[in-house]
Amino acid sequence: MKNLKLKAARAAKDLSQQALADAVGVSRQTINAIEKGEYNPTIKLCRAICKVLGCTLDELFWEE
Amino acid sequence: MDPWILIILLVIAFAVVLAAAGRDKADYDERQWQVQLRAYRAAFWVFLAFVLGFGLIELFVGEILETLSVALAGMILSLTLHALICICGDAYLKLKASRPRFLALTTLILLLYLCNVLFFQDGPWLHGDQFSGRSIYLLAAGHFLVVDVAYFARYLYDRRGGCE
Repeated sequence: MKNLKLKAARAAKDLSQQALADAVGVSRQTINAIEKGEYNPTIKLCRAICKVLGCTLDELFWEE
Repeated sequence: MDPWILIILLVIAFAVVLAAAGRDKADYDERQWQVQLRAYRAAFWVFLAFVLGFGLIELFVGEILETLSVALAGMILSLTLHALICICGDAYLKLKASRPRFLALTTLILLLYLCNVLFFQDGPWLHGDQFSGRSIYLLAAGHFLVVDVAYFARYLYDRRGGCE
């Protein structure tokens, strides 16, 4: 399932996939795979993404 | 000192220098490790299947290639498969590695192998049931050709924005 919340939060911060990837220390393709729902990140990476985007884990990764 | 021991020591020293030089660079990320593990697994099983298949053919049909030559061909095949899976999953190079430099290097190696096969090796392709040096160079050139083409395609795809 696509992670549209992550994509929206990234867009709200005006960050490209590459910028977010550089900030959390992964490749752009990894961020792309997470947004497309093709890769399930570890909690460590989820936390790093949340810190950069200023969101909570629930806001970005909890499926309603 | 035995020249083989000297060569092994030089290779170890070279590996240590390379490891020390790359220590400060970022490594692979968690998704890339996962892709690499999948690639190792696929390469391992393909190698086993290749050797087993040749073994069965030899058992029922007769010997085609000598065991070491079969193992060498299987290794190059599985190495190429591993590279392909990693390239498709963008897990072949480290995060901070320079892609153009890698492409230039693999293209140079490919050209050297091809030049060697075409202009400097004029012996037979097989010595009885064993690969000759010429065919081993050709196999290595084939590996680098596949890696080069696949990486170039991936590089172009990513430069055009990938699937963002």
